[in-house]
Amino acid sequence: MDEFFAAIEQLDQPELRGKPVLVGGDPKGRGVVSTASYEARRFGCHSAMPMANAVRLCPQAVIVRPRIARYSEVSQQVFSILQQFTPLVEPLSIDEAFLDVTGSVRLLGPPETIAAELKREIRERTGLTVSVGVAPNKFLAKIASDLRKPDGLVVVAPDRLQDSLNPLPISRLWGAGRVTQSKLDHLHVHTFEDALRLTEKEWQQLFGQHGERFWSLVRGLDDRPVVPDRTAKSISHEVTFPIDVVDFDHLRNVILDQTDHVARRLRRHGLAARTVTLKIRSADFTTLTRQSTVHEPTSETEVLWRCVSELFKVWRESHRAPVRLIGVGVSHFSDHEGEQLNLFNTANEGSQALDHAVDTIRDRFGDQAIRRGGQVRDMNQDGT
Amino acid sequence: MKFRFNREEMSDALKAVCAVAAARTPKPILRCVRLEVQSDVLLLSGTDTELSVRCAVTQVEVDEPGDTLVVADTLSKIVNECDDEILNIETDSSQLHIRGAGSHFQVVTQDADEFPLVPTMEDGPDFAVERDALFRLVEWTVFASARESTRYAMNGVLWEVEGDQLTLVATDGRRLSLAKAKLAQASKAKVPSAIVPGKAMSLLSRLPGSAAGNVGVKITSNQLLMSIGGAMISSSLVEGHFPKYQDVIPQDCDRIVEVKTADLLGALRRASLLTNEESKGVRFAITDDSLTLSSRAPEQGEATVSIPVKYKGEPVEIGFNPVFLLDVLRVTHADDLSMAFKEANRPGLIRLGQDFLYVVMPVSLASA
Repeated sequence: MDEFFAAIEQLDQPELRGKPVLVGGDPKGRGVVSTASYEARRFGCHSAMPMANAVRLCPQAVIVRPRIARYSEVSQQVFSILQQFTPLVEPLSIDEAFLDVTGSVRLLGPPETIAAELKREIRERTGLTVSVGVAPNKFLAKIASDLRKPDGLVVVAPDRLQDSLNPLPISRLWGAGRVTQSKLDHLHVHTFEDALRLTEKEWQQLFGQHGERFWSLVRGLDDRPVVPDRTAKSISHEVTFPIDVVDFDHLRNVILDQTDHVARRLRRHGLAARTVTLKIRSADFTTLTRQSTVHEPTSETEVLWRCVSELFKVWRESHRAPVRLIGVGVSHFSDHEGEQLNLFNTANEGSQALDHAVDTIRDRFGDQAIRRGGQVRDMNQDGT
Repeated sequence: MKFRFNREEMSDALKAVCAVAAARTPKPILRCVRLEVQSDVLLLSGTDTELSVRCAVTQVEVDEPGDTLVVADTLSKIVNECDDEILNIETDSSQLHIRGAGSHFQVVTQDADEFPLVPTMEDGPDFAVERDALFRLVEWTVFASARESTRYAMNGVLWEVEGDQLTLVATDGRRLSLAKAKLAQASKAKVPSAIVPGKAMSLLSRLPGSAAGNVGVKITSNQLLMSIGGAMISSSLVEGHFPKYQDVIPQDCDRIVEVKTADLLGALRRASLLTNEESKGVRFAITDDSLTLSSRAPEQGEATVSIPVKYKGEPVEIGFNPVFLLDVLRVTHADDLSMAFKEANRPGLIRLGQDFLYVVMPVSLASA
């Protein structure tokens, strides 16, 4: 979706249309910009920028506090539209998704037609614009969707794939963070075309196990399937920190938040998981995953959190390194079909009732409306 | 010590001891059987400290009493392999000598004083049950108890005595067995309820001796003792609270199906051929006088099996893990069976007269 939060504000409040709008936190505190409207972007404002800086760049901007509940309502509406085109919809965030339309072509026409129809349908039903990238794989589709915002429709034909990639800056390479970028910079690799110079072996020497993937990606090769949540084999949530984190309490709050998220996605899809995974990548790029398995498949935040915090406790007893990435995942699902029912209620009724109540509140008022104790403290530190 | 004994009687008693004596243990002494030779009887005992057994061997001729320990498994194998009717045992300072017609075994002994104390029933049993009746209760319940539940109480079988009635209840949280028997001799005082490990109860059937007679039972705050003939079992009780089983016995099952046990057993076996780890459930579709079982194993295949039943009423569909039903059908020993249901997510109930009932929770079915 284009400038999703700002677009919704302009839609709901006609007087904001055509004006620079900044959705985000308080400029007096340490609030950041969630979304800047295109009018504001012209002044150099962009998301994740401290609100105070954005206001300095564009003093006439209208600042709007985020209304997450409204945004997720619109998001749900958009996702249900996407579902009409294919059941294979993989949500990437509140306003981004991958669609595999391979199976829809016979019914709905070629991918470009489907994309145009999808744009029309979303505009008609929600009043919002969306940028679509049509390509043979996820990596290219994502790049294509970013090329001509807003209201873009970019088609990468399979035979013109390399031509479309070549001029792009290498910063568009997926999974290439700070360190990768600077390494490539040293080698004078600035565009995808430059990157073709490196052999597969060189990629591997430079980036170890990720080298092979980078080698493929700069050639536009990506064979990851589109995995809809409901048939996913695992659900995970992870974050790469802008600055490596040493503070255990902060890490703990991050994984609590992630556990909460993952559990909610499980419940939304009526799934229960048996295996819980904690993934931690240290500053030196060593990645460690630890798993634990629960006896009965569960979607209770409380039960999952017990596993995650136990894994984290074990990890912190032996590790001290700053953390670059941390994530929580669940797998080994049982849907409720064929589930053995219990004579005695073994599940913790209180914990289930709590989950249900929290889910209901968040569905109505947004994810930030109610949080766990540890999360609230962190929220205050953020000043949001 | 020095004595002669009937090999067969000794062999049976040793088998019971070997069922208790640990094969692998950090305490090697627990691998031993204690031989206490008194003037006219040999007492064999074994223990793993939680569960103990003591058997009397009466067909003995004692020359010299004594008390010693040898590794139970070794002695049992020797006595088993010999074909003499009578064997001789004699000890010197560190060895036990077993002599038959042409054989001589020497086995290292240990000091009997080192052996843990095996409890005895000091002042007789609280109550008594006919041996056959108790065996039946054991067979009807132990299978339904949990194996390694973290709710420890479910790893045992609940014993409750009220008036002249003994009730045993076992559950693993998904199915529940309840069996009752009349006492042969009631208790004068109130008997506390007890949660007894399944292993102690299964041991009953391994004790040597005839089928007739009563089993004397005594329940203390932390132990259950059972005596039968010359043998005695004592077991620590399982600590914890047994789940409130009365609450989960359904009272409102109004859809009653009558079926031949053999028919249902066969149909279940056939239908469960096409179940697997991920799809354990078998669908029961009950319509007028017919029960159709169907199963589906993803990427493997499907099965449908129909059998005649007696049923009048609204059709009902309900899913079960076939193992839970096969388990109970194997122990009912009745030609006919009645199963009662309410609806797809409510428990099913199997009854056998007044003495046995079995509650089983369904597996949820796909709505399709």
